[in-house]
Amino acid sequence: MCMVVACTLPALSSAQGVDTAGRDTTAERLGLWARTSRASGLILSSGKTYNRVEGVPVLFGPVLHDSVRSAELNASVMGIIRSANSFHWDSQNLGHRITAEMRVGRGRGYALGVSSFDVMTPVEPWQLPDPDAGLAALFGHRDFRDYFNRHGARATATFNMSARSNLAVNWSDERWGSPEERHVFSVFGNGKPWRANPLTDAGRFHLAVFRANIDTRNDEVNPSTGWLILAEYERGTGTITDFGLTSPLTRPFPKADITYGRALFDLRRYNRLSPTTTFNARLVLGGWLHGDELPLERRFSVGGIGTIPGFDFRRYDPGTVDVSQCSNGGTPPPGNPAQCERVAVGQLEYRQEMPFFNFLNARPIRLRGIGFTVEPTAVAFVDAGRGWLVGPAFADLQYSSHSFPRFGTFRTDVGLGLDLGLIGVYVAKAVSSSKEPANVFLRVHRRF
Amino acid sequence: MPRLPSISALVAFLLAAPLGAQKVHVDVVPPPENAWVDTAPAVASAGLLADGAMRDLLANGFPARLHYRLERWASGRWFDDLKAAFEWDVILKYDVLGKKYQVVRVVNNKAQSLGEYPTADMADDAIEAPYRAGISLPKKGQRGYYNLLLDVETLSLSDLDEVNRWLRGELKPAVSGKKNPGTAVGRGLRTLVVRLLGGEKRHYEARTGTFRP
Repeated sequence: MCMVVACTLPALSSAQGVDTAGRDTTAERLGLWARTSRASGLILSSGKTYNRVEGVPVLFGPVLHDSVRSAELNASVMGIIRSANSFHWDSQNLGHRITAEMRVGRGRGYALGVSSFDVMTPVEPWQLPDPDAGLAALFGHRDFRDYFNRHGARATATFNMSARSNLAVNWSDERWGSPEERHVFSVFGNGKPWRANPLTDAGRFHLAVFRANIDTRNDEVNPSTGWLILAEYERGTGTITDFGLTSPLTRPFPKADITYGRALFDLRRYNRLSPTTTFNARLVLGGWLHGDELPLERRFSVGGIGTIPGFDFRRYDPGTVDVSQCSNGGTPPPGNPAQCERVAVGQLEYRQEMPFFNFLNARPIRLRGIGFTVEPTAVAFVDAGRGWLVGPAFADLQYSSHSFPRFGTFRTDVGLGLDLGLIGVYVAKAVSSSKEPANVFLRVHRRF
Repeated sequence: MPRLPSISALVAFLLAAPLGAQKVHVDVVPPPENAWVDTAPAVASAGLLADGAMRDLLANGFPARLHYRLERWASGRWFDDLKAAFEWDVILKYDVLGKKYQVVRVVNNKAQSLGEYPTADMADDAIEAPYRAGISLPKKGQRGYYNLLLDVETLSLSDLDEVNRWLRGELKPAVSGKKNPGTAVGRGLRTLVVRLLGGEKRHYEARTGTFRP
């Protein structure tokens, strides 16, 4: 059996206004590495995720890589079996991902692709990276995401401005379904019930997505300068056959045939203040733009370790206006789903390296032969954010489409942490709600 | 969110893993006599490929790739400014038939052989020898420093390889009663954690002190 690794391209666009910069050798690397890493064959891979509806998704099947002149062809036919319920053979545990892509030009160029898929997708992937979500589920029995099933086909056209920056257009025809949480192992708390995976809207949708990824950071892992910008617009048309559960104000008049427009901007800026100090900022704005109300799969929330860690994830406080999930009028639906139509989150972070802790690297922490070293960095951070509904103004929860909530209604927190490079330990305290106790939490690599 | 018991358990789990390997050094060596405007600094390292797992994988024909990015920064009043960057790769592969280690440096899309060596130690020496990068030099009076980013990637750390090693190395003896099943499960868990942490790539950084040429 041939083994293949899907290598990410640790790329190197250098748009920081440098006076000279060496050419990107990674995107166009030659020789042994490129030939070996692009070998065709059979692949067996975890989806590098772990969650309460899938457990570990195991992907297997053939991949094909070939090139004709400057065109690179990649194709794969992957079956998916999920470890939930002890790999039980049923429709929720089976899926597939079939892709074919032609890419012209390395670095700058374009790509055309088609795919067919039956996969589980997080509702809000912008909040938390896969490693954090997966490890929290595996160790802590805490799943900080909700999931829905996407089954359909997609065509994609991408213009690559560099190895890490691109403009893309997707068109897809897909069916959405609402999977249940299942029996999934966790190291601690195994056997306890998982938080319910909220019931989302089921139906058939046609989606057109325009996406821009601009990445001028000097390094993907530990950036100290540059921008990372994701701008996305989605126009969706579809028919909801089974409505998910919502709070009363969230969707007062459910409509089966909908057309909506939705945007998401995620802007991150990294600044170096000195050789050992950086100051970084992130701003996320997302929400409804036009048309009918957003389906539940396209709604937003804040709170928890990915956004405002001083506030517990999906916590329900009876009798309060919930600007995190936008539920109102009593007990929220099971799982306390994201129901906001718009969201705004700002994060600031000051990082100071602490080289005097380097004695910790005298012996690297070793996991399965991989030596992880630590890079101790003290972190101080501030977060603010909230979600809201769009409509006639109502009780600090719903605002007209042209207005923006005043800052005093935002949830805010402050925090400190020690980032060891591999894992960071942080403590966050809510500021806007003094009764909230401080939260201690872990993050893998950086917060953003 | 993970509370203290699970946090401490995870940290203990990580630290309980077997320790001990040669310490890794990555250094940006200042030019002789601090001639910053005339000579670029050299990049040297030690122990990058020394651990047993890496050697085992190399010996089985899987290549390793080291991607270097040397940056020159100017100190600013508020923010420091990235003035120049230079990137290169070093690729190491064991030729199983020829029984020799091949070392290639790729700079500006051009591959340059650093030689073929009969042992991994000799190949390591070739890789880790000081290399003076072709980065542009600072102007006189421009206060700044150099910063090096290094990613070491091993192709062989695929899921299938890890699963095979686990099945062959730990699970099979455990199933046959020759090894503690708990250890096998623990190692399987560590494998999963490594996958989630993105352990197929190791990242190092080094920098010079601030200078004014």
